[in-house]
Amino acid sequence: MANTNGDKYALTALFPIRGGDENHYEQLRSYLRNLDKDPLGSPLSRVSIVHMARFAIIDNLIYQGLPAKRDRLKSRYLLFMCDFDGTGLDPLIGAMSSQMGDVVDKVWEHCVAYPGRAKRDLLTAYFERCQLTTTLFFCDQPEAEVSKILRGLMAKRAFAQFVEDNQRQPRAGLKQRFEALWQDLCDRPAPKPGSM
Amino acid sequence: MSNFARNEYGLGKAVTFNVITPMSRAGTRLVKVLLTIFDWRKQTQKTAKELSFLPFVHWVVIKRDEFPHLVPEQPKEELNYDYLFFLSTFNGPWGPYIDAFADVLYEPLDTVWFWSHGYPFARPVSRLKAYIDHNQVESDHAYSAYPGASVRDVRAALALYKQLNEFAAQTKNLDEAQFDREYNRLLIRTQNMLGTFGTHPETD
Repeated sequence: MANTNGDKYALTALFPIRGGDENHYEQLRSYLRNLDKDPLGSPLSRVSIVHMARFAIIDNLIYQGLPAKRDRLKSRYLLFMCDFDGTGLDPLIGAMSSQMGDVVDKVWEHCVAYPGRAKRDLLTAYFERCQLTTTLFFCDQPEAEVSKILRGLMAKRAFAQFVEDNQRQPRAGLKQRFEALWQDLCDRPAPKPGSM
Repeated sequence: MSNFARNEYGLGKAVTFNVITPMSRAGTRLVKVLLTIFDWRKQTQKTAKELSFLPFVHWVVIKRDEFPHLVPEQPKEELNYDYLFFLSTFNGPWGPYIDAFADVLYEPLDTVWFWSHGYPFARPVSRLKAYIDHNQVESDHAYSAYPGASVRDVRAALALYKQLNEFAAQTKNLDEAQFDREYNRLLIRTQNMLGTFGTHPETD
């Protein structure tokens, strides 16, 4: 129940990062920190069902001071949180695997037991093993898909400009101009995720 | 700045916020029940919705023996506490975000976080801010499909699109004068939905 809210799915997952001498943790952090060099803000923009996502490396648990006991992690973990359109993990894994496969490899190859992308069921099973149940999932727009929101934002920007452009124009022909705008908005594809 | 979603034009309005706090076993059971009730009864989320700066929030309870253990070579965690993950996305600066939480949502916040070690209660807010600052984990990458749009922008965009769609259908067969009148009415209805939005260039 809590992993879903309306038509949205909340993925929260912890992936143990590989230890050893190869410094997987530092390589992974450096790679993640550079993902926003993508013109659309992230390679995740290629996955059209994703609303928002984040990566965070949890390298330790914070000590609360006496009288609390100190907890030390034996592995570092990659936290991946993703909010997307869907009711299960498989469409997300499929889309990530096909649309940003190179990035999936470069991120998760630093994680323990990453099975690769060759077999999607193995990859989905891997994500499911690392998934945590989201106990409470709050979502402001549980029914609106990414494309619907982007189309709405496109219309908002275009109509605001239309109003500004037309406020000093003669009223004659306003109907035709509006109809042309609306037709154009209906014909245009939704903007690319990350572009607005 | 890796907490901010962005695109090539600059920083976005979606900021990630991760706070991880330790809980006792007894607290875990209670917090799970509370969060499940808050999740199930959506009307309990009304106040959080009214704040209008939270697109997504995950609360996750993870018991001390539930950290993923995938292969025998991976050492098993031996922890003293269960953990509560508060993972949210918000619009706006950090300080006012915490202030608003402490002002408006202090009761549910205290009810849930009371069971976390060292939680100082939501009021006075300075102690809450220090607690959050101490327990916050920075994101290494954040993404939003619409980084330049806040919760209010998205709500306005969806409502405006609906209005325009209806207006286009209803005015199809009107003459110029009738269309003019309806257009003025549309502007009155939608004038608060037309604000600009977008990402902002980063300053060095």
